Amino acid sequence: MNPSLKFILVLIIALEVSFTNSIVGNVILIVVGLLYLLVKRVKLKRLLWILLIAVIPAIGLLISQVLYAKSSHAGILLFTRIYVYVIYGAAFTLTTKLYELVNSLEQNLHLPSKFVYGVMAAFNLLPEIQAEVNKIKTASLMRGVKLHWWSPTLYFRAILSAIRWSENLAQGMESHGFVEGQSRTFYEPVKITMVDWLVFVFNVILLQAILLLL
Amino acid sequence: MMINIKDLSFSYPEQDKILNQINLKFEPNSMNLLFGPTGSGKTTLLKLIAGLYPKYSKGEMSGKIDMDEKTAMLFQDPNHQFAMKTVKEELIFALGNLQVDPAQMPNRIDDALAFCGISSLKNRTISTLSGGEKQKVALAVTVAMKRPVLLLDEPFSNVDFESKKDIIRRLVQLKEEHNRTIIISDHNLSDYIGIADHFFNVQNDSVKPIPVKQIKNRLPHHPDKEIEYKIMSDNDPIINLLNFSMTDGNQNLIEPENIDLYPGITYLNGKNGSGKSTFFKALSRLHSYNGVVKILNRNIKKSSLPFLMRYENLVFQNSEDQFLTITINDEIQLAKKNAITKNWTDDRINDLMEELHLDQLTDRVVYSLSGGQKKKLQIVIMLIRDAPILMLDEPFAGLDQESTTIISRLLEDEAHAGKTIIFASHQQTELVDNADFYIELANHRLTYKEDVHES
Ligand SMILES: Nc1ncnc2c1ncn2[C@@H]1O[C@H](COP(=O)(O)OP(=O)(O)O)[C@@H](O)[C@H]1O
Ligand SMILES: [Mg+2]
Repeated sequence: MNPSLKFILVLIIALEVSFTNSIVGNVILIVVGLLYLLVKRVKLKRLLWILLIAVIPAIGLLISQVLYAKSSHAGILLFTRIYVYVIYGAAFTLTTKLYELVNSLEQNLHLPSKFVYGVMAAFNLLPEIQAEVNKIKTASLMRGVKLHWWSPTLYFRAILSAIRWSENLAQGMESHGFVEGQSRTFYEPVKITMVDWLVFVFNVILLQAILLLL
Repeated sequence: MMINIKDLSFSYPEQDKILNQINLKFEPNSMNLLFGPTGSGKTTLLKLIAGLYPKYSKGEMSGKIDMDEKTAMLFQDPNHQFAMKTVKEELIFALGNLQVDPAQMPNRIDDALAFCGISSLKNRTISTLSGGEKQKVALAVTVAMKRPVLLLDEPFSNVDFESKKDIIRRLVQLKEEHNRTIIISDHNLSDYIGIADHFFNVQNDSVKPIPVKQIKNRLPHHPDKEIEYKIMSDNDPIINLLNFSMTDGNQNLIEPENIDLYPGITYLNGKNGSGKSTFFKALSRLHSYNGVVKILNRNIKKSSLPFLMRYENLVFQNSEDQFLTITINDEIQLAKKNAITKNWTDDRINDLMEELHLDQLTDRVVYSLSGGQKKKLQIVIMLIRDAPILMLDEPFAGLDQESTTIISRLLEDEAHAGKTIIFASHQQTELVDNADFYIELANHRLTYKEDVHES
């Protein structure tokens, strides 16, 4: 499915779920979401890990509702709601490549290219943060300064790196021909097909049925 | 494509004019060389021509730059000029910006990569490339863009000698076949004699054309010679590598090996991407490796990092990695405070700062320095620190001849005083000639060399 439509669909699901009170509806959504993830053959280990981590806030909410609001219905509702969020969040992130999403956001939703590429560059940087922090720490040991995770200098350096990086990025993009607001051509044009629309509309209607009728 | 510069002046905030009333012309089908001391304004001039300044600086410009075509620029700093993750994506991004027909993109991308001799890097993640490889990728982007004007700011500072000659030859071809205007800044002019059409000296707020004849006279004399290096030492080794190997995550960089390193000066040479920086990082415990590394007979994996960093220090390839404070003065104070020895007295430091022309800049924010000025400051603070083992990764990138000579001499003095200096460099400097040992990193092996023919 087209990444932008998929993104909007997940947003709609999350929004509607926050305004409805149907436990059965939530459970059905959870089952459907899990099935989707299995069909898409995501890494099982990864999925289980995500489900496991979500247990902590979910149980927290459940207990607080049961103990303090004395409402097990509200508790279970919140519990299932959290899982709907987590599973559909996973259904989106585990099955969509950043590069595809960004292409689609730019071409189909026409978000400003500057924003789109800024976000993408930032995401590309994420995996390097750990190495960067290690480098800052070792480099400062070479200067005779020991940085702990609470040392202000560490954050000062990290923030400075980020600022330098964003300044350079703007110049780098411009020197590679980027002009804000000017149209671009796309190596991999992303289209929203008839099928994408059909699937999207079908899913939205199904969602109403599940949440309203049950 | 004619570039016509009229009465151009430029100053950074709270500084004297760095360029004053410049009048210059660059013609189509010409290769132009900018040279001059570090901090003389080469980068500033190139960024003005590229139209990036004054927009991205807080400086003030007057005068005019007349031209009716667009430019593509390669930045001096090999990092931070890419928006995308992989080499191919960056090229697609650039071509998309120029509204190139997608059907033509694959050919243009492949041609540009082949031009720079890096077809094999096409699908690599840019952040994992070596400094020299990044420079080649940046060059490939500017080539793929096929803009009439190419601005290359010290494009070869980290590029190995053979690739440099090769790429210059192809740039000449490009210039002639497509009527390009190419402007390059570089400190080493010998590779451009008989090749570049015009030379310009950027110095003392002006830019002056210099006839090729005069350039030849200025060149340092480099006779062909055979240099002999030691392969053994009377001293005990200071670093032992036992069954040492490392990878870049995917492929082997160094295959299992036993080798010892000795006090004195060791020159580590190897092509771009062979793993020199990664080797330095492994010895600093910033990159994983297999086997055992002993420094002064201690296994470095078993020593605490603060302890280890009192014995070995690395001068990073990227100068900014070394800075912790804001102004030059702060950096010097910090270096003095945490120096391991008292060898560097205030007088010595002041003399050195003066010699390197950094003494007038002490209140400047380190990040606003020119590339070469940053490099000099970085070396000064690590010299003051005075660890017994100093590794230097491309210490001469961006330095002019004068600073290169001063720093080579200093490092030789340090080695005579008993220090261990290990450096990697693609610049032919005095330090290479005067090194005690020469280790080549090629075909995944570290090998001591005895006779090296240099031309
Ligand atoms: N962003 C900046 N802010 C303030 N001063 C700068 C900035 N960039 C460069 N300078 C100063 O302007 C002078 C020229 O720098 P630059 O053009 O980078 O020199 P070059 O490229 O010839 O080494 C140097 O003294 C440098 O410190
Ligand atoms: Mg420069």
